[in-house]
Amino acid sequence: MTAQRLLVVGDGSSLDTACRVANSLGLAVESVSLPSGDRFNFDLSGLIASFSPGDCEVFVALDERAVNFARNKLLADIGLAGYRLTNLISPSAALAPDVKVGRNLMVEDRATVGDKVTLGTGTWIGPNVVVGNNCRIGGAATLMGGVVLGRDVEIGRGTTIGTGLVLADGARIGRHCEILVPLPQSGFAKPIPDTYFVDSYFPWGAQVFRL
Amino acid sequence: MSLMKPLDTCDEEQSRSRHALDAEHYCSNDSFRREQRELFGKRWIFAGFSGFLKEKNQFVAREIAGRAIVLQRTGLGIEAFLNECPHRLSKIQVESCGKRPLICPYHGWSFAERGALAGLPNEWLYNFSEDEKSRLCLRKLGVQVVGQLVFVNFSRHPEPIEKQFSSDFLESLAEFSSCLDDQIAYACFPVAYNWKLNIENVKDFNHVPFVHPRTFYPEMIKSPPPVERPSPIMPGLLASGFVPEIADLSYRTKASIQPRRMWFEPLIERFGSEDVYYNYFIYPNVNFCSVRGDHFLLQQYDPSGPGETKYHLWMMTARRKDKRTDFTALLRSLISGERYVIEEDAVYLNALQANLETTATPMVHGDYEVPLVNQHLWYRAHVLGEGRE
Repeated sequence: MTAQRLLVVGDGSSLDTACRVANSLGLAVESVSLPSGDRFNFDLSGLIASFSPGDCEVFVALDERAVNFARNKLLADIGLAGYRLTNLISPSAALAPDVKVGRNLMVEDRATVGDKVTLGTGTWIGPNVVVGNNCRIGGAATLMGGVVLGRDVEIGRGTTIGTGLVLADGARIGRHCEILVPLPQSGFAKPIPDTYFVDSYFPWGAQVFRL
Repeated sequence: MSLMKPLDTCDEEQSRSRHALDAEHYCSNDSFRREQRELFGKRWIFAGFSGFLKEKNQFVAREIAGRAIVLQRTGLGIEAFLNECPHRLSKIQVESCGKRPLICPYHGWSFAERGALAGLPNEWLYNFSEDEKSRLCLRKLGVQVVGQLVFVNFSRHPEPIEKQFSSDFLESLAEFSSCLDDQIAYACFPVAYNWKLNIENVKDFNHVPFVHPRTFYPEMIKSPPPVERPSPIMPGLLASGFVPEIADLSYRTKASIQPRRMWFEPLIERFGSEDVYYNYFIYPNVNFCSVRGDHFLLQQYDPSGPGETKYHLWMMTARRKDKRTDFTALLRSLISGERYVIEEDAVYLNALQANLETTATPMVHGDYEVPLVNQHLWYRAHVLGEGRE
């Protein structure tokens, strides 16, 4: 049996982070920075010419740009090219035994993931993140460093939760949202709809509607 | 001989001939109340997009100058009401938009077309006479739809919208707004200055090089100054007692900008083909514009207090060719970029408002500011009631 090569492919500082986590796992890794004219569509021709899908496993390393649509698309393109996706879970992270995970999962240093949690394909869990029991995190979501999720929290596909934010038990966040500052707290917590954005410029929120 | 005059004398003389509105009109509760009554309470005010109201029971709920309204698609089309139940004045629609009949969530009163009372749960508790019941209804507002723009009027006897906007302007606005896509980014956020400062700011193109040197300004194509200096306009205008018509305060402009093709242009049905910045100034408080006809923004400055404004911002592209195209990430990027430009303005407008709160010094306007001063002259006559018998 031939040992599989591990490729980390993508762009920007996420590549370095993924290589560091792979090294801490004792894995030999090759980093491939993919060319792109627009930071969204990546040219895979060089990758395909140099690395046969049958000889390697791939980890897609890309930040939360374009509301995580870019990572989602790159994952799909890599999959269509025939590459097998692998997970990178830091040795200092702690996952409960019954956590369900998809592919291309990143769990950075010292993150902890509780019982019966589901983590979708392409999810990126930053350092020191705490995910409470029974949480469901959609594919290609990003939990930035220090995020704390209570129990039974649902995070939709492609959503980003910003550094250090705390979401209470039972919080519901839709798909392709960016919650980058604390949500206004008042009375009953309302579910956050899809494509909703909160940051320092939009403290009352912004939303993209499809009418 | 020194050319220097005492500063206060010099300023006072010059200012009076080029000054139209006082600092207090941007700060005082009295001006705010007069605006609510004489301007926002009587004129046609933009309230939302018809795209949010395609199906029966779809609604948009919001405030206009501090009054809660609801736009609702009923069996009669788009109707507008005060968003308050005649019972205990609770809001009929609590969310900002959605699809729900006109039912008060507090005690379940329901309302039909024209705001008529349709259902009264536990009716025996109220013991209303039939005559009393017949007069319990939602307060209906005037509605006009121009292209995709919905306007409301609080007056019980609204004047025709054609009196507020010229027919040419309305026709152009309808055409301009009819090409908007129905994937729309929307945000509302507070700013700490009077709403008038913002509509004046967007009419004041001369601030762009100073306030937006790295964002908006590089897009502009600079026009050279005229060879011959024209005679001054402003002192004569202000001395004449002239009061413009309200229709003169809304107008459109086109300014050349750098030619550029956006990556999403092949995915949309672009409005026009010119490399221009389209600008519609919709008096009193809307600026609706487009960059090259490929994407659009509509911004509305809704007064919530003398020195407080709710800034409403909508952004969309021209109509997508294929409805499966998802512009979520694009719209997120566009509205964030626009918000950055707005913040560049807000830094100075917040500071300007703070000065206005503490000064009685008159402003001095140059000739290029005639559109601003026309607003001031109309405001003095019709909001402050100056010059009336």
